Amino acid sequence: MAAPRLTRRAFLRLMLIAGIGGGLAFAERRTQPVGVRQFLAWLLRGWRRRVEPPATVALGASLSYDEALLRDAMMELWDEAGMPDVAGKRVLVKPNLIEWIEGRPLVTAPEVVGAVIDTLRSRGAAEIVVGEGPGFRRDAGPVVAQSGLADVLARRGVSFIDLNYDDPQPVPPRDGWFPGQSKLWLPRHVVEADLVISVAKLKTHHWAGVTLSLKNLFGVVPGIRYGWPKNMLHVNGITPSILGLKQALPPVVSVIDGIVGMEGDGPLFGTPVPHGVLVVGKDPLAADVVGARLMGFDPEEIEHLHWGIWTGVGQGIRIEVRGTPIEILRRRYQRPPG
Amino acid sequence: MTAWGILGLARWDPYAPELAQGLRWLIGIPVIRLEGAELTAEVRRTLGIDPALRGWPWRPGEASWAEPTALALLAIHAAAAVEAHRDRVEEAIRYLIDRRCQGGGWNFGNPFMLGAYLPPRPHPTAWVLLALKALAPDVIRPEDGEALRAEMHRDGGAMALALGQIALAALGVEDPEARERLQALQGPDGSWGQNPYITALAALAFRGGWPWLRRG
Repeated sequence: MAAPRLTRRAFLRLMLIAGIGGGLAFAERRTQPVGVRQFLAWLLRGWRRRVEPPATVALGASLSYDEALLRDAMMELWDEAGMPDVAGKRVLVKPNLIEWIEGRPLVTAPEVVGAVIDTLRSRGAAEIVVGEGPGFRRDAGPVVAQSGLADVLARRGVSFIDLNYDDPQPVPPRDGWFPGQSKLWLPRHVVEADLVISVAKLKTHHWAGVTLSLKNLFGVVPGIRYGWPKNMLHVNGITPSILGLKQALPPVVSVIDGIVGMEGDGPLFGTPVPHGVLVVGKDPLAADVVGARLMGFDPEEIEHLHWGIWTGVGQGIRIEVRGTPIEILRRRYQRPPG
Repeated sequence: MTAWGILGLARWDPYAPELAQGLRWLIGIPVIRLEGAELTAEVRRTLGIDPALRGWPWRPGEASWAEPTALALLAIHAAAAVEAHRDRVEEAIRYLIDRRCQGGGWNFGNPFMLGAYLPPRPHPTAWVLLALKALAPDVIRPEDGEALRAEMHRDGGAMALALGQIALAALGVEDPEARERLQALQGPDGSWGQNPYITALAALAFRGGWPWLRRG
């Protein structure tokens, strides 16, 4: 029997299939470790953000740490920013308590945490806890006491949870930011919260450029599971870990304490910047983009903000700023070394 | 956690097969070790450390850190397995010496970063001093103990005060003030901060220190 003859049409069809297959294999390899499907999902979501409604970020100016004034300002900004309804909800308030060094503004001021708690109470939150898992401290208790937060919480009858030791629970890593990992371990109070409020500090950071409300999420990773410092995040990469944590958590909203910010050698050894600003936003990426601009940085220069915008983790392109215009409040923070 | 298991078993039953299995796992755990002249030089420039030295990581496949290294060494010492793993133990001791902070003591394992010397912390300093006391007491410097005392009082938390006293007792140093401060932090329910780990450390501190140092 004669061998079947390969027609010109069949040959072209074979070449087309081989070309598509080769192209997909090339794209798959080029987009490792996330893969072409995840890459396209990020790309499309990033594009979609360009036509979606803008995120609202509210800016307060000329503020001090006077508790009564701060409470009023926080409530006003909360409404202006269109923050979510918290009535009947379990809320975890996550300040930045990385370390305590006398005279350096490296933690979220306790008065700001107090104002957030008062706002949540006034809006009917069912359960409020404050939690943090410092990456440099084995025991958060002394930082809570030394920073004055213990007193603020005691006066309001709110508990503090050291997230480094808070019963880790497995959660799926969403959105492809932790390739090769089937689960993340996060503290019980974080997993069970209806809403996480990242109450961050407006600071420079020697690795990440800035540490605002997204980078502040590193503190939810339990040291008891991942060690001190949270090395797993550095192994995975700082940018994918920051964005991956945001995606793995319950809904996150932001408050950034820039009443006294930090410039230069942050996050620990920088110098204070009396700035008087408070940033409140429902979308953490939008709040951080505004925060970076307030510091005089181009958000696109900050790697995790650039990738957050590009992949559409939040709305980083169309932002409506309410309150004092950003141009009036912008400073030029000294960059971190390195 | 495995190091703690070995420490516990070594006190109960030094010949338990589980102890040998745990030890095998601990010795064989993969650790990141940076090699290559260019990369090593870059790490030396930014972090001031020798990245080729291996200690122990918090989790398999990650970088070495001071605290898990010290705890692993204490477990190997408690299991009387130092001679069987002499090279690995000596490398880990060199790792700890390399990570010492400028004025004595240890932090998590980064004594220097981007042009700045970083300060020691009480918890890793205490663990490292216990490990060195057990395995290489000659390399301990007076400023290491002084750093521990200063940092544990600066921290003032029950965990730092308890661990600090355990390590200082191993060095033969008494600190009555730390003892009083730790006593004052005990809650009415008998616990320290309702935290089993800190309460266990406080109990060890009041009991006279690290019991495994008598073995080896």
